[in-house]
Amino acid sequence: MGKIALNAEQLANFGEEIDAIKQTALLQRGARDARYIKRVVAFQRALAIASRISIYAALPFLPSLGLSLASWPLFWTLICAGSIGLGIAKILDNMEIGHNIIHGQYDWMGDPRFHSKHYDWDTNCPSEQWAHSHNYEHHTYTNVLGKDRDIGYGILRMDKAQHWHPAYLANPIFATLLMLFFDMGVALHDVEMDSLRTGKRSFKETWPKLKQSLRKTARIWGKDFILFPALAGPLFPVVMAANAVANLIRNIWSFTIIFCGHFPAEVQTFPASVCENETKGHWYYRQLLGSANIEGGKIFHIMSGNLSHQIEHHLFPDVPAHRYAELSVAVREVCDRYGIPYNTGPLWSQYASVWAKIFTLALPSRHTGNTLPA
Amino acid sequence: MSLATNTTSRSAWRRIIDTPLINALAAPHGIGRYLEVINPMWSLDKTRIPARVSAITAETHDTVSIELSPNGEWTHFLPGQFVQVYIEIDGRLHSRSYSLSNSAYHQKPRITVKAHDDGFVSKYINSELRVGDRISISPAAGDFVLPADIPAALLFIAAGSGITPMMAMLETLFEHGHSGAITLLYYSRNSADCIFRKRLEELAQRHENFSLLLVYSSAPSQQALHGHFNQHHLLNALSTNNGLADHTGSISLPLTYVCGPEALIDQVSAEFELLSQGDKLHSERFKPANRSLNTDDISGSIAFRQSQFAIENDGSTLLEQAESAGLSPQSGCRMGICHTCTCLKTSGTVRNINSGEISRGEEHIRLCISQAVGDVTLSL
Repeated sequence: MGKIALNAEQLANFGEEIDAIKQTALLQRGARDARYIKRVVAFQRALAIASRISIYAALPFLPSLGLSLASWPLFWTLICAGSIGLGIAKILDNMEIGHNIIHGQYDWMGDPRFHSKHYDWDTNCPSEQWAHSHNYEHHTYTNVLGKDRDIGYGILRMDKAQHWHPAYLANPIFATLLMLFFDMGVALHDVEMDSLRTGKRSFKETWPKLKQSLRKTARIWGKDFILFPALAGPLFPVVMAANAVANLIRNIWSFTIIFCGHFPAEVQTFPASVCENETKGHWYYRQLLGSANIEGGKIFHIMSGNLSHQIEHHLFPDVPAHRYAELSVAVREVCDRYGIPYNTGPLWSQYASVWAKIFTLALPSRHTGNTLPA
Repeated sequence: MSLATNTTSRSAWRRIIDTPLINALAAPHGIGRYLEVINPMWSLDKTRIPARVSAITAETHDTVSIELSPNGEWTHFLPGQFVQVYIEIDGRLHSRSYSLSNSAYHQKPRITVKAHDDGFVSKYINSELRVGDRISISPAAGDFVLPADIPAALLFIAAGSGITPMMAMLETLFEHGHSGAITLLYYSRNSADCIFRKRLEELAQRHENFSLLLVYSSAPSQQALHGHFNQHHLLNALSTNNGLADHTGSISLPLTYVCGPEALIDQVSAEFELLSQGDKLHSERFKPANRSLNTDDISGSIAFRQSQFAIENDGSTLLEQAESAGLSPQSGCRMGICHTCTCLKTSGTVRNINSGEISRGEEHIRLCISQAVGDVTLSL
């Protein structure tokens, strides 16, 4: 549990310093940010088109067609390039573009194409539901037990304060399924199927959001698994498989990045009582202790939607995310002075730490003791 | 006599490509969002139509005309209508309404913009905008237009940049070959400030049915017409197109269009009411820009457009006021981070209580961190 190591005055000063970093960043917003997001969008759209073309370009080389073009190496090269490219395009659309735009990071541009209320992303979750479950619930009540449904997403046991239940023995299996069908998991997150199961909500209350999610899923899956494959005629299954691989790549990658944001060891959770009369300074403090960064290069940060700067993202969710790297320098400096831990590490170690937690917490607490693996 | 203006339909390739099937393949963005990446002019956006600046003409020392080449989504306009112009300045899109000022027979619409001292966008257009730049415009809108059947006599009264919609009407009427009597009573500070002076004089020379009365408010008082609008000016204008008295001897004013500052419209309206001819008058107000800002002064009212009521501004955040007025706008964190309460402000000025940032005019704002500065209209 997050025990407060700073006194009220220190917390207030700390809050003001973090606030100042934010205000400076907000004042600097301008042509540079607009140019950045437009370029990423242009690259993403171009990559999506090129990848789709590559998938169809592979088809004439399929030896089973018996054409003179028959060539396994060319077929595999083109279809793999297409699938991987499309997977990357979907990752960019969902993470660096969609997630960040829906946060309102580019609302100030006044352009509906980059506005949180208008942008829709290429995934099964309706962006409106995401804005509620993620922007509001998760970002306001980050790592607060009972309030932040991102702790375990209503399926997993990711904190030892969550009561153990025999079903959690399947924790690693559930986590693997969530990873493979992450798009569906996200689409159903705000629907709160778990509340339906526990009787907290009736089906009638659940249906409107469920219907909205199913509609969006039909649109996206209809596109990838029916419409585009249909263009290939008898080679329908080949295109469908290529598109499925692209979706799978996106699912595994976004699961990986997102789980590394709040679940590595040493990331703290908080009791619901912290929300009562919480000061701005403490809110910032809680965001810091409840988030973890992943170290990496520039392309890695873009591919992670800059969620590799999870700490900065939680302090400044509506500051354009491409600025997090430069803001992190100032944030770390403030953390050092106040003695607040700044959780960061390479992807492999953060990810290993997450899976260790998934496995350990599958067992009841008496088997794991009070300490979590580091 | 009716006015048939130039209407072009949406180009063929746009109609072929903008179909439900193709858009389903490009879900959820739509095919236009892919096309505009290749070439911004290929955008299929019907509300924000990209347009290149194809010519810039200086009209006076502080006024320019901007000729635009919009893409194939642009169809037509009626003389007197305006477009919403969207210009990106330092990453932000600014939007302003400008009347179109050229003949509706032209393929390329034109706006004419006077730089106001406190006009951020109008100053930018005058000094920074270049030929080849790309901006966006809305489709033409507004009901300050000529009737389907043009009457035999028309009177136009304008002041300053209020001439712009009238210029579109005049150019269109003359290009159409309209033969009825047309009178323009146009006020400017002096001849140097008189927008379109040369063009108007040229039209007056070429067309016998056009009477041009230019009035300079700073002109010496011995001149026949000087100062601001008054009854004497109106009578003078009417004598040029024999609209004052019909054969029965009763007073009948011609169909009249007035555009310009508040004071001019009020005076003209009063004069027309006096003669019981208010129904002959069409007016268009150019709203003055918001000037001074006093954060200590809590004033104005907050209007909720969809709910159709207004409340007195009590100085608390717009979210709190909307809620205490019984509305339930979407909201979340109440501290400006989650953007759940983002709402369209259709007019008015608000201050961001976190950053002190000021938002003017039509813009999306976060209700939970916005404080009204004077009258505000929300689309709630």
